[in-house]
Amino acid sequence: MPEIPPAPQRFAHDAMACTFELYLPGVEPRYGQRAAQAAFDEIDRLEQILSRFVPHSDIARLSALEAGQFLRVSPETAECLQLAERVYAATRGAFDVAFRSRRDLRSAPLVFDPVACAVGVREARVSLDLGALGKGYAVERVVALLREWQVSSALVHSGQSTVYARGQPPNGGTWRVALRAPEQSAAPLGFVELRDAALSGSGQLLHGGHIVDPRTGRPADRHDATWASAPSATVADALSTAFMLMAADEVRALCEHWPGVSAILLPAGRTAHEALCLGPLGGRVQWSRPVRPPERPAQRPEDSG
Amino acid sequence: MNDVFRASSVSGLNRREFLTAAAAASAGLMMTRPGWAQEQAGSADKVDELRIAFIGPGSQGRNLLTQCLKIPGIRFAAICDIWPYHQEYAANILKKYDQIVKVYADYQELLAHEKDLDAAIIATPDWVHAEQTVACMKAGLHVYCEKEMANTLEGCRQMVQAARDTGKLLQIGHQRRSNPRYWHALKMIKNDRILGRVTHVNGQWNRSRRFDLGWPEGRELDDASLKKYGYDTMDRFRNWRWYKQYSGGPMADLGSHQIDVFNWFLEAPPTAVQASGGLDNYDDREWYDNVLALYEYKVGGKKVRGFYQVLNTTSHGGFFETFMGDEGSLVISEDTRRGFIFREQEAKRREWEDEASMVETMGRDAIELKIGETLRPDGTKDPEGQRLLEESQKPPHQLHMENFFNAIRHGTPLSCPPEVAYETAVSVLRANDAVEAGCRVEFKPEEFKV
Repeated sequence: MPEIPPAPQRFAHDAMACTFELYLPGVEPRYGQRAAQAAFDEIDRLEQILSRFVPHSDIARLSALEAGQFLRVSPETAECLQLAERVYAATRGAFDVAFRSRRDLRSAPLVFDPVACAVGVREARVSLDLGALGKGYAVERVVALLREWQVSSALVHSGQSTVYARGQPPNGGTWRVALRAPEQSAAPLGFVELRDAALSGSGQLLHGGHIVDPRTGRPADRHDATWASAPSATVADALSTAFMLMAADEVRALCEHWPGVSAILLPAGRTAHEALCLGPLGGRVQWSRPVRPPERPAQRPEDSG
Repeated sequence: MNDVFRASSVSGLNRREFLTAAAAASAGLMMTRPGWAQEQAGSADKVDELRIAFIGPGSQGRNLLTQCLKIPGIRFAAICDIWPYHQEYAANILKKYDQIVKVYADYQELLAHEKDLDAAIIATPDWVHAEQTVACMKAGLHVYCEKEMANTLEGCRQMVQAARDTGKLLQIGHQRRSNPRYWHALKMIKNDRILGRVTHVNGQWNRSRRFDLGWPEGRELDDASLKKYGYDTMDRFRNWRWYKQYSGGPMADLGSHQIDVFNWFLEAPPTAVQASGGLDNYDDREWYDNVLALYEYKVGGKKVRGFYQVLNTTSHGGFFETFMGDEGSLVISEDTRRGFIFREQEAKRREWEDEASMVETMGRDAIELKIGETLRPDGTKDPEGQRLLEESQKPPHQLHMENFFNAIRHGTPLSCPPEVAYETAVSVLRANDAVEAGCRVEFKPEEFKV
């Protein structure tokens, strides 16, 4: 039997304008390499379908349709767009993959035909951008692939914006993920313990103020950074962006209604001590410096759907 | 205008509600019923449904399958793969498009049982292409077969012959032949003579080191099945491209696409090839992992020399084809980010160059290779150019399959019939011979004919 290396094997791959990384502990080296290759091939395939920068991607082609036209898309595209609509509704428009084209909050630019895997547009040249959930979706698909490959422990991330921890690390317990506040490059703000869950971060300074409120067109200035945790990496990715635009009370309400969703908010201009922890994750965040404890009793993780 | 839809959230619509909504909308909003309006633009004809068998939905096969599902009027009746893992993957995709198919492991059983098929798409390992293609055509099916035609010239010849004998259509998967961007480049070179006289060609496909393909634990084929279908081990089945029994190696896997473009644009197969290559950077494989080949062509009585490389240890420069002439050079790639024309300083300027969009790339000013820019005499954009521009947004393999289906339905010409693909197969498989023999291979014109 080939030996299993003591430290996790690390694999890296550039795609979707970031570097994906896989850490696979407890796997025979050759099996790990092949699983990683399968994962990276899947990410490349998804990029060809979902990136608006690839002219023949589903997203680019949907964005070129005239009003009333339909396009058959890959099942993955339909899945992402339908999830995006769900997040749009849950965040009252704070997250919107069609924000450039949405005339008002109640308009719905897309129509889905679930039977034939087709998407229609109500207006010409609907501008779609899956940038705020595509990488999370790729992480989610990689995790599904690793499950199929019976890899029981793994850490997967997309350019450190969305991370998923599968199973337990080699020493047992939970994977420990560091949170870095945008203004502090060196010292972590705190740590989150993750097991079979995703964590995604969005920051104003980190990425140079790229988040714009789709409802007002103004840059997000409510929080310096936000993190969302969820059982799904896609949901975590989308929500971390939306949380940048939502008041703490709105985020809290969402966490109560969406099973397994948690949030960490670093309000603008506040110190790490004043970061807010909302939702069931509260009990599983370890802070490197004292911060205000969760405002509500943490829900049991079993409550997560 | 949105009143019809305001009542319920879009994502919450079920099938019946969706149809109601769509029907209601079609009155006020011209919301077309799901008939894939984009593809049908300009044509109200109802397309006849073609019934297709898909043989070999592996990694390239999945790509073909998903692109094919975007074409109107295609109904998959059966899929076939020796590996249950691939069968399940493909059947699951098809289910999402409401297509329930029969599943086979053995293509002969498929042909014995499925009597109502129009065509087969074949994306199996190269070494079984000839056997399967010939059998499908003899069973009365038109065939779209992935390149390389076969990993032996004997196999390729059988395919050409079977197409002639049966009168069935055979399209080989050199999909650049159906790509409007390539047609446009060819028009610029041939009709507009934007490069003057083409003297040299250059191409490459460099890609990073990859790990071998594997399989999820517990999903391997049993030994009896592997043996039945000609594979010693699961490893060899998954990584068939690296073994001489199953594949023509990287020259056939990758080089074939680009040597095909050389032959196509120069309107002639090569006259000679010499090549250096080897298995220098990988263990446990057979095929050369790198090949550097020098081709010679004769065009209009003058020599055209070409250089081609395929490397599997670096992605430097990616993949592209370059045509160099005494008045300019043109770089094109299936990757749409790469399409440029560089003009020599001495070249006579064309009127349209003043209005062409320029970019700086590779340290020089270049004209962007854009389609859809052609103007009519009145200054408006030529509608045919606009149509091609729209076409060019489709995935490349979809265009090539559409060309195949159009040939079946309307008798339009195939863009890569077997005689054309045979010339390409000779051009690349003989380069492997040149590597092995360590000498220059001269082609006789009759070598390219069947």
